[in-house]
Amino acid sequence: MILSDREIATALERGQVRITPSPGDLSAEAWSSTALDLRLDARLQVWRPPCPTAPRLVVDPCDVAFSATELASAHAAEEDCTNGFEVEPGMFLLGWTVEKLQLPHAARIAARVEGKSSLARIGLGVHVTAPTIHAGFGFRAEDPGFVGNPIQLEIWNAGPLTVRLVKGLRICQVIFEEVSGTPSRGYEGVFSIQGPDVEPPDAM
Amino acid sequence: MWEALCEVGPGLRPSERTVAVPDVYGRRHHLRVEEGFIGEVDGKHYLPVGLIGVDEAKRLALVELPHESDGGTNRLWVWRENLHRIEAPGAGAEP
Repeated sequence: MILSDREIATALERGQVRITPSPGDLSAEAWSSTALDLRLDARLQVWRPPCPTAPRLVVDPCDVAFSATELASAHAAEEDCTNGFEVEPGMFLLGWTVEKLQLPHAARIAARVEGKSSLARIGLGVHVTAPTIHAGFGFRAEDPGFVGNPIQLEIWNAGPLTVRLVKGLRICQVIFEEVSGTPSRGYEGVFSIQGPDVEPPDAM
Repeated sequence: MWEALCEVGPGLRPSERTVAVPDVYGRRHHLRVEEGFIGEVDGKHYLPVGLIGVDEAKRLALVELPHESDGGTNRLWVWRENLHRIEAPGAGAEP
């Protein structure tokens, strides 16, 4: 069930959802009836196509040791949109929200990050089919001072026009949903289960 | 709360780090987290994980990463010795 604005505000008051900095009360611009807008932070990671003369590069997502950081270090460039950054048609980049989010497991709330229709109409997407923010996101039970993580956005321009991004732009919205039951990750007991047959380290 | 042994490298932003969590097969699962998310004990780095279950006989633990790894993994088997328990009110039972 999707939470209404009043239910989100109540969850914030109770600490079931934590957003830093606070979005303000229900009169603030960030709110709508069933979602909360979040803002774009300055730092962007812009993916660049390989040089045409470079050997053909194939990314293998089946490789369990695949590291997006290593790939980005070779094929992405850091940009800052404090004074604006122009996203050309076909461009793909990573961005992050100004706000940090925390969803304690026990609160049984998950969320989804979605685009805003105003930006979608000009071809700007903010995620690539991975909108789910799982229960437990950005939560450390033993560290009350930890306020959570920003949400990473996969930004792409599918339209024919150049779009200018500026830090602070309300770029996405978060929709909160109630989770039925407590996830096993947040469950305070431990299941006894059978693991795979592997040689213990001291036998290797 | 539990943490799993990991290696730490630079992330895509100054406040971010890339961690590699080894599983029992010797594979390393990479994911990016905020710097403050990583714990340190006796010079070793640990990533908070959810403890799903244990195999006492084989000294294994099934853990869930804080979010999906770059390779698509959410849950993995780690050596129980690679886990570190954080004392917190209401913490889970011994594995």
